[in-house]
Amino acid sequence: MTARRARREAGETAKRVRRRRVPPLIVACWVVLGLLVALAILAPVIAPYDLRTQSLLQRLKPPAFLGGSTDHFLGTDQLGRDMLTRVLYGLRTTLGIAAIGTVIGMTLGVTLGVLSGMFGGWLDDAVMFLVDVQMSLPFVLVALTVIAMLDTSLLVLVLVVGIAGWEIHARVVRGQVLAVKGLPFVEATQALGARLQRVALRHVLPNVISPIIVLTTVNFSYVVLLESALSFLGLGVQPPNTSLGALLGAGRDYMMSNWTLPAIPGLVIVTITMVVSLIGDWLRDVLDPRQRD
Amino acid sequence: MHHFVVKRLLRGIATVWFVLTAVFVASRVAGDPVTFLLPDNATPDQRAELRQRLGLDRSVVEQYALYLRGVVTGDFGDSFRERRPVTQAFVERLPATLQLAAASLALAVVLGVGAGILAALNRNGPLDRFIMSLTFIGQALPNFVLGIAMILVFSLLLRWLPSGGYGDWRSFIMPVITLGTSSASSIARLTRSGMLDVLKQDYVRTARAKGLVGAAIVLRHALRNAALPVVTLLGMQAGVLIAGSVIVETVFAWPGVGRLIVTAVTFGDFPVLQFAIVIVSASVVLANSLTDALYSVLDPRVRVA
Repeated sequence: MTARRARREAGETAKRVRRRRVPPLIVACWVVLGLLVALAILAPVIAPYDLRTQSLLQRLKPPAFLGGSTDHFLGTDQLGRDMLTRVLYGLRTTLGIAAIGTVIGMTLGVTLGVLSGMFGGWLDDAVMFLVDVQMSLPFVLVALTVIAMLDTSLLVLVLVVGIAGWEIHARVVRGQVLAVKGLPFVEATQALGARLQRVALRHVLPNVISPIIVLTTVNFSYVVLLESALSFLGLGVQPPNTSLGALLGAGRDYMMSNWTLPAIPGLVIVTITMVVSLIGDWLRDVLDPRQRD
Repeated sequence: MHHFVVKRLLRGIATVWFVLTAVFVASRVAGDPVTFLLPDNATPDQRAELRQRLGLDRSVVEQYALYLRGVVTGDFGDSFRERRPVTQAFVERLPATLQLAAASLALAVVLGVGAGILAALNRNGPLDRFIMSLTFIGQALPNFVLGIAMILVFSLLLRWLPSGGYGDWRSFIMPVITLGTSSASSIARLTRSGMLDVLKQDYVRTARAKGLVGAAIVLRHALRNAALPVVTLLGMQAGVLIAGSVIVETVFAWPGVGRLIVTAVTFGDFPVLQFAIVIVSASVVLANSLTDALYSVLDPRVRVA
């Protein structure tokens, strides 16, 4: 009896360990993401040149690995600016805006979702109507309209990418709140006289943390894409600042003379979205098996 | 069924009304509309004249009523960049965008449903894994990166295809693939999971027991039921394709509505943008409502709900 129990327990532990082991691909993704974030943070320290230093004699040089000089490892752009420096700063801007935008979207969505689920009534109707509206519109168009009315600036861009993903958070969190609100133990706490605030913070929030983490990852790569797309169209980050999307857009005009100008920032964008998507899928499997398709 | 469709329709109308009102409020909050509606070099006389014509000397409520009347009668004002009605500028570019979107959607459905069925029938086999990896890449690859990568390879390196512009069939290949890839990937994933669900069902086993061969089961019994979520997704693709065409048309210098919208934002051509957002939200809402109606035709259970 005890032997069988011990064996069963050992089996369960093994299963748990197996489940917890992170697949090598995901480890690689975390390493790449960590590296990209480190490069973004350290950009001002490690960038070999100033972002704006032009050198018209050194225009459109190829990268070192394609026969260029090692002075400009990734070559130079149409104004002779060092591409390694520009890609590092572009990465910094892109990741920075995406991080702030994701946090804004999450905060807005979670707050409205919790309020909507907890209080119901007209507040719920209003929030859900806004969610419906935003879900039924292509967000790029909303972003373009806001930018057209408020003009292009970093603040407007952050604002736009901030409101990009709130509705998914709000919807999921509201659903979770409604589900948790009906659980017997939550009803019991309320019957014991716990205030709404306490129920929200102590019982509802811990239950929605997992889906929030998963959604935030999904939203992060969406926001990277949105910022890149807007900057690519010339309506996001403005010179002299740059972002990966802006570099891709600028590089497109000179790809006949130096194809690496659009290729390198494009590759970095794809790397970010792939890595974050893979991490997001993995997080969903680990944290929230119910959302699996 | 009628009740369901009517409810969805009312909701759609409310959405479009909300968008109209938001654009109105935002344009008043953001500043004097005359500065949006007239080019920067307009004379004070022109400004005063436009102010009167738009009824900006009246109360906000009256202005709002006038604005809604303009929308209903199809009077969205003139594009100041092209100096003609925005509706005219829009209609002129619509065919190019519709051709691009229709071709992309067709490609996405054929590729997506085909790949999804193949993947489901080879569940967890090498082909399934290969298709699923492709769809993952297809979903994570941003269209502007894909478009430029294709131009680099097929126009610059191999010189097979034109790098942009609207011409013969060859000019369609890259824009259509670029616009259709992410839709194809979503459709493939959904078809696969739908098929896997359906293939487990008793009636599929029954069909097999009756002696039906593989293709008949897949096409007649399984696919029809697996198609339901895909139909919903197709409705949602209207918005995805419109958003995508804004980018893809810029990448490939495609003379369509998407390009018109980007130019309007760049030049502050507000009437064009206002018309674009109204017409796009209306068509997306319409597409979603039609999807719901189609859904209730395909799945009798929905009619009750």
